[in-house]
Amino acid sequence: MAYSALDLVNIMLQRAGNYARVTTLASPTDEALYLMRQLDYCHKRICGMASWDWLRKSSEIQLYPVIEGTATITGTALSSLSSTDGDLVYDVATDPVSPYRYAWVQAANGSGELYRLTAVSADDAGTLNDYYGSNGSQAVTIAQDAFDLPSDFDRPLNADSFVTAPWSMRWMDPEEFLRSRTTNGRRTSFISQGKPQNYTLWGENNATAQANKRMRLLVDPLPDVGETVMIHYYKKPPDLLSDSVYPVIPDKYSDVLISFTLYRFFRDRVMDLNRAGAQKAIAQQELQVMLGQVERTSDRPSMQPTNYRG
Amino acid sequence: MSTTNLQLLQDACMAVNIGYPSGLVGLSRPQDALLRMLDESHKRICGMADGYFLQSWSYFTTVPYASGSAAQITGSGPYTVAGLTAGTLVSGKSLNGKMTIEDYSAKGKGKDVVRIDYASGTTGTILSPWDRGAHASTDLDWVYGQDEYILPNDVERVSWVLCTRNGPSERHIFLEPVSIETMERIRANRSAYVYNAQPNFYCVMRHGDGSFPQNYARTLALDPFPYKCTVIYGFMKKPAIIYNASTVYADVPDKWIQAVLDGALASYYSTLGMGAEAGAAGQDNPQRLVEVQQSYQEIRQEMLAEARIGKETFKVDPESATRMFYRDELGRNF
Repeated sequence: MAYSALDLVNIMLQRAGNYARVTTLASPTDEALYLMRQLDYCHKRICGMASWDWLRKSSEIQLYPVIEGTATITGTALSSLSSTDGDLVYDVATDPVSPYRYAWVQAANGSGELYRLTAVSADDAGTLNDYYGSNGSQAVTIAQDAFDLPSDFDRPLNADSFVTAPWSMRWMDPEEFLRSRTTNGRRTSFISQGKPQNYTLWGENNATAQANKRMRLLVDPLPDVGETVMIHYYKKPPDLLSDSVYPVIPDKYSDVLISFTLYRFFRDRVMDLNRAGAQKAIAQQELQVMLGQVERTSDRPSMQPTNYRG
Repeated sequence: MSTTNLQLLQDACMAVNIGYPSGLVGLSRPQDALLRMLDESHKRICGMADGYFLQSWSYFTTVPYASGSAAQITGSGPYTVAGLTAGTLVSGKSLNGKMTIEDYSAKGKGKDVVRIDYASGTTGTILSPWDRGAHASTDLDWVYGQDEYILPNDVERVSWVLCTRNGPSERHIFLEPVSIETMERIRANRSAYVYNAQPNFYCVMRHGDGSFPQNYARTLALDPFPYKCTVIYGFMKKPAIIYNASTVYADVPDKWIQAVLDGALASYYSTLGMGAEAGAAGQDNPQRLVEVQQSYQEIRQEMLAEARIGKETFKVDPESATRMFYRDELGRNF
């Protein structure tokens, strides 16, 4: 039977020296709190150590199409967007961050300048970073090239191939990707529509809201239809901070999790370095067993010799 | 979930067996010291490599090049240049531009480049040494361009720079990085130093002038001197300041957060946690110090082994590579 976070904490409280059990992690003793937090960290650390089969996941990413239509631009305010291609997909109740946030905008009044849509306030309205053309209703092209990754995305399945679609897609290094679609990359027009052929990742970790700090998938050419692509990755494990959450590490390796956590408990809280050393030795030994039992499948990426703590 | 500074502090306090706080205000001295140690450990780890969790991007609009033929020089030091086209100088930004003013003193200084600070929309204060005196007539040719832009304080290292032209036709350029020496050499070989076009090169150079913290802000120089463009750049951000009375989130992902903890614990055990301050418990602390340092190193190795961090390409501009070669081969720099 799989152990929940509460089970694991109580097991460790017992093994650490018959400390009192807790009935819920919502009101832990000091020992239980320390064990719970370290259990969570150790769980996440072990999950990040190697290419574990049991962390593999695939998710769909909805690409959003280039919108060609008309809009009114006054100053830096864009409004009354009208297009048969769709709208800015903004619903403050369910999706406060529009997928078109930071989309590229090209307006007819002017000389082909490119702007960024810095904020979206309605399905048909937003704000540009700047504007140099004349005010008024005009033809606009709004194109998004960066899409949020799943919230549980931790790292790509392979370093250089992790997005698939019913057509061929190719990973590019971020700089190579950005260069390829510029004028010095021999592209005559930046807003080039079609099925995305190239992709890369770049982060938005300076976002103000914590929820928006994440990696984003960049694609090129800009999606003409807005189809769905599939991303293959290693997922983030859940937080083991509430009673009924279960580790993603398979049951058979529970000992590794327990030993790693108890090592830190004995080292820090109990100051018993003998027992700490013993727990660390067990954890290391069990980790070797885990690494030796990684299931092999035909598309399993080759493991890098340095990518684990052996 | 990302780890907060309060959570880290609580973990560290529990690890060293002192009472843990429920908030970040009114900390005891050992708690305050631990929070600082966590901050230092976090910054140290974030500074080790270009981690994906530090990747960020931002943008700015350039101040466009301008020129005219009706400037005059007034004052007696500092001198003022007046008669500029309205809007040429922008408050807070023009300090980072350069101007050439037609010579009237027969000293042959018409190509002298001077730095100007914003005084008003049509006047600027000459900051550079000026030995040509005043010139009351409003008939001097002038050219002004702003090539330097102080980046926000959270920019640690610039990764790439794109420039989109706001001009007669669409041009979207990937700028090439060069050293400041190369950039100045390119400029020196042109007929006009303050040459106006869409930038092709960039250089991340000195930190900005001014008081803390601006003097730790990076300056991005563009060449040629830009007309109106949108510059988009990718960068590695400075980590969050963990030593903070408000709740902030650590940038280091949870899977490696124990390295931040262990780094702080090592600092604690080698200072406050040892000797008379630690009482009887301090006797075991040299061994605990060794343990946490070993653990710290192990987690750091795991972190650097992740392909997205470990495979970052080492980049230098070609001239730096040449200089490194000469230094290695001949034992001296050129």
